[in-house]
Amino acid sequence: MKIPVPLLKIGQVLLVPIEIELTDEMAEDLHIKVLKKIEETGVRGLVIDVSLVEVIDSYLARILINIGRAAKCLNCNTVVVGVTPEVALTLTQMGLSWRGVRTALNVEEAIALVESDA
Amino acid sequence: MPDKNTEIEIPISTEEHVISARGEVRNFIAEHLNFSPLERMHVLTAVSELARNIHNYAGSGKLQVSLANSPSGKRGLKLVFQDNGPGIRDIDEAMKERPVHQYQKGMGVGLSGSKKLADEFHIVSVLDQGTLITWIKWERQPS
Repeated sequence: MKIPVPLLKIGQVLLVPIEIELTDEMAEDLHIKVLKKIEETGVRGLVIDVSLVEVIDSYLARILINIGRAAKCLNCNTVVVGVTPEVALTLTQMGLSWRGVRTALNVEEAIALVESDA
Repeated sequence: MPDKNTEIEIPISTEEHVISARGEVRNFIAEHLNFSPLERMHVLTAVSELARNIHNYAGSGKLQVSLANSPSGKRGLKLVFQDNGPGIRDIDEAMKERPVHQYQKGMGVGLSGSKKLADEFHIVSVLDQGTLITWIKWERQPS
């Protein structure tokens, strides 16, 4: 299935901007495509940009966490960009832990973060 | 007869409904209530969680959105999620918090999490009949 989420390779970093609402099918597909791309390219960093996603519920958070953990198995570190304070606070209050997934304020900072880890 | 402006009913049967339900609730609270950005995020996240649960577990159901009024004069948002799905066998079990490595595709975090975001939360579920969830959030600052 062709999903309208671009995967942009920038040096040693894969940038994934999520600009649309993801259905379950698209999310599963994205998960697979991202991991395949990491495997093909050997990038050491994954930056997922959710700035344009208004609400991150436990479903999307779980996808981000799972992608992060799977990427780690492929020697790739993940940083999520664009999590607003309201989203972060809400997920924390729900009892959801971001364990293992780092966040950054913007894409530049995220890229610098993953590059310094590589 | 319910005032059409202060009460809306949203069907939840497709995945698109889960997404559009958020938009309708967002418009409703913008029009009728005074919520902070954080409170608004609580509402929209709860809508997402509970509507998604209906879609994933019951197949279809509905969300009724209305204004709530307390005896003390507080105003708030009342969300009623209703489905005719299989019901939840053990609500306490379903609501248990799980550590992150046990996050599977499941209703747990969404259900228990949504409860934490509410000021009032009631759930009734009968096997083979369905589930009814009432979720209320009060205004902090009157509008």
